[in-house]
Amino acid sequence: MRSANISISPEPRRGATTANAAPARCSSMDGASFSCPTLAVMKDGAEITTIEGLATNGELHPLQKAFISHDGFQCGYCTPGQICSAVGLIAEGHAKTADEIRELMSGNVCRCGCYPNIVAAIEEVMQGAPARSRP
Amino acid sequence: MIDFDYVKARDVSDAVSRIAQNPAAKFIAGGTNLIDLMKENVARPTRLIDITGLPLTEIEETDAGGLLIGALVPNSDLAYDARITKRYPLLSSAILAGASAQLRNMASTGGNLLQRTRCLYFYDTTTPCNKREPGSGCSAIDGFNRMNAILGWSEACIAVHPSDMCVALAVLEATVHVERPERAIVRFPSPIFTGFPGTRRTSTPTSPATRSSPRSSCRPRGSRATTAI
Repeated sequence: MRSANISISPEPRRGATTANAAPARCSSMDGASFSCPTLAVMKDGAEITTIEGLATNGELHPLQKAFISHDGFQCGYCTPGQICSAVGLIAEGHAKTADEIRELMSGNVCRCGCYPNIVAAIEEVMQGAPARSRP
Repeated sequence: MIDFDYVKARDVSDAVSRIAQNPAAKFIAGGTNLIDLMKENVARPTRLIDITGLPLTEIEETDAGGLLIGALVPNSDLAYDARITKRYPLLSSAILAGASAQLRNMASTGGNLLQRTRCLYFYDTTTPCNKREPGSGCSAIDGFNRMNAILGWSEACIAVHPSDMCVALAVLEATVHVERPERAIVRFPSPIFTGFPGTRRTSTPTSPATRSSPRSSCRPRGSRATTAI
């Protein structure tokens, strides 16, 4: 994420490692980043989108829909991070193939092992067309 | 919890003078390594100097035909820059082999140079570590050390350098430019160094000798620095 319009005066502030209180993942149109090593004070004035902000007027984001239709999760624990990372991946535009999706999503672990379905969901949204069925 | 002051540097000279005034202060940009070290109680800065607003985000052509890379250029921007992928593909592939997409978006070039080793004992403050506390001894030599050095180690430390990017820059014979408090730019002939205060830029050589050097990197997928759930 590239922060912009940070409006903090150049005077000392009392700080603490409070980033743990932030959502599990965050992303913006500029790309995905982790909230856990982020100090909130450094993002003052920045636009941050979390999983809660992806739906518009109750309409799920295309990636949220695709994760549902492709069974891209089982327990759901990692899903907010997977989807936010996928939003960043598509916005950044570096992935063209399923292999590149896998590599650029490698920062997110799914202990249920839903990786093939996650890749299919992302591929579908990225290409704007249904992904090939895979074994 | 660690109490610390936070200040946002106005410009490069402001940042340099602030860090020179306070030996217990640290610069913060991406924060991907420093925040972890603070959470693990390995780093205890009394003040963080936020340098993310400084104009060090560009990759510029030099008169000699090389590139001057700003200290705040994100790792991902550097890896995907067309000039880097064309002229220094080794550097691009080295960066993309490390960490994850999210961390590469956050991590800066200068921070990558200065990140600390991932040796388990460096992070474990209950054990001796010469790198964390000089003179206390090395726990890794007779400890769990499968991720430590095979070549280039000493009796004092067997930690490996943590940066893929840095190793590539060293191979490419990049020079690190450091601005000192007296406003002088000091050039270090190797990007593999630690502990110098100041802001940094990195320049790549004019005629890369390794235009298309294949390289491979492997790493265990258990590290928090690599992967998150």
